[in-house]
Amino acid sequence: MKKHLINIISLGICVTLLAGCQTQQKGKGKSVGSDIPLSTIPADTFIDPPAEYRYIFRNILFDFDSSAIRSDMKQSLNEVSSWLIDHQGIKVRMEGHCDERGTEEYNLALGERRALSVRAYLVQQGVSPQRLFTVSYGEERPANPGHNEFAWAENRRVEFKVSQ
Amino acid sequence: MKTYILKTLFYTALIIFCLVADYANATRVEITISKKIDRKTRVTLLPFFAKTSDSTDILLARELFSVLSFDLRHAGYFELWPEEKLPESVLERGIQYQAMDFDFWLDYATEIVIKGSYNISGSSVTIEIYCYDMATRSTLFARTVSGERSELRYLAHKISGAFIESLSGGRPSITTSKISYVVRKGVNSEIYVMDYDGQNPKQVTFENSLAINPEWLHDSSGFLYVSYRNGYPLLYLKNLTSSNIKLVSGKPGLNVHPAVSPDGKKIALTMSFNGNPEIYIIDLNGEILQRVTYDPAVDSSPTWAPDSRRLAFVSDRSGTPQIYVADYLADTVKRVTYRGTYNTSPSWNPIANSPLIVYTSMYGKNTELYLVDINTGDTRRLTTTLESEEDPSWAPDGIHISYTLTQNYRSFIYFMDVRDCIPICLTETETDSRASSWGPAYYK
Repeated sequence: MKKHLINIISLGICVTLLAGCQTQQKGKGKSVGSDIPLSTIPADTFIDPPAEYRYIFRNILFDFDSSAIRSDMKQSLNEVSSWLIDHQGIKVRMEGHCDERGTEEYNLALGERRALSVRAYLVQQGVSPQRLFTVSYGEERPANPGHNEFAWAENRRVEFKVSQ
Repeated sequence: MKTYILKTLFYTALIIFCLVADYANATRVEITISKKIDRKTRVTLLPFFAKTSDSTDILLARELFSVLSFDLRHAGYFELWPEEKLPESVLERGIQYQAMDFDFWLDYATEIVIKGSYNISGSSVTIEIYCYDMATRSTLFARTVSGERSELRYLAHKISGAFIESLSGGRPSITTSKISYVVRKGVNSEIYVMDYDGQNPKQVTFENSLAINPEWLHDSSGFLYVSYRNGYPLLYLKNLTSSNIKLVSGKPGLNVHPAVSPDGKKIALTMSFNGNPEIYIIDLNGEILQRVTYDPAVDSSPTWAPDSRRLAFVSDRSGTPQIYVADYLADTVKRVTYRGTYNTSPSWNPIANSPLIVYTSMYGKNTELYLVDINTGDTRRLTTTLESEEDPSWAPDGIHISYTLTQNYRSFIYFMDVRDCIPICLTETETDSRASSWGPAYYK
């Protein structure tokens, strides 16, 4: 019985310690580890990728209300990252978009999150973050003007633009 | 026995005191989470008459009458009485504006009678109103305003606002306030400003780009907005008197969703220069004062509590976007919405100590407006499911909200009293308008 009690107490202490660690991690002045700060806004103009490279820079599509990279999009992103590693002088701008559902306000943040997810994936593949820029258009610039599931699926996207 | 008498006396006194106090603040309203229709005071508004018969201007008189009718009807305290139109002979009684025929009006069961006059001299106009209280048989309120004839509507709003504030128990009147909003122009959009009744819409930005997220400064001298004029969503300040545009925040990534603190000194906004959308507080020059959120999820759409100490914002840290409240000085965060899987664009009621936040919730295919009491967690739906409503913004009186209503893929600005929830359309059918921000009560 006594042993049981000691077990409970020690478990309690462990939980308290763990909880302590967690709150410390979230405390002020500590940044969240996985964030890669953005580089200053470049003066470059970004244009649609030239026709011969368009097959590489295909739009990256997302699920509703999600900024997670879909598994069926990874192949496409891998092609982009290896092309960028071969063409070191080129800067890329990733433009995040949302479908018309949900609120404009939140979609602005979600579009940025999508662009940042693509950026994080490319950085993980070895592309320098200094070459990658993001912008969000929220739901302002749909690729497909329709109001149905097909249009929405096309509009939840990140587009690539390259520096001249 | 003695204590019993004392107690009875005390309670009787208390009841009498309450009754008296209630009468003195006959029009005091309290906005709470529960749906309740306050009884409204019956007001009879008579037509305006020229002070001297040779300066009669029927159109001017009609315009004055229509502005005051709108202001009184939508103030939240009054109903225009009687409901049917008064006969011509009765309307004529407005000529005697400085005297009141109390006995005559007894038959109409009205509580306040308003008579008014105007006087035109050259390009200027003087308006007077006299408000008579039937209960006390006395003059309740009298006011004179004068100014240019070209600003007639403003003068009329000013005079009705003064009357409303004399009875509103300290709540500001919204009659001279303005609403800024976004109008679609092809793939671009520009910011417009209109009177709170939908009149005088004016384009105020000429960006040839996307201009979004308007937010008024507290002295109404200008507004903050987000423009893509340089290719990225950066925060600008437009001064309405000088027409100057100043860059306030130009960090890489987002510089969006500006919200000016009630003390007017700080701006909360969503920025992502750190690699993730987070809430920051900056001063009016763009210097970062504080970072509010530290979470790998999306944190966005801040709105200030009336005390300027707390902020409500949207975060999807739980997996879906929900509303949270942060006391950023004490470093505490509390989730306030639990219903539904998509709760965004909060706006905190501006009246001191108010626990009410209005927000947008996805409800099936559409979005609807809800109120939440952050102390109890109770919610109330304000809109019907037929159309999509989003992006609410409180009026300075804490009674009304403006919002975007979308029907057949076209958007309009509406407002409503959150007690009776009757939608009033403000924008015309030709323009695609959205994202309104209700400006301060005293617009110069």
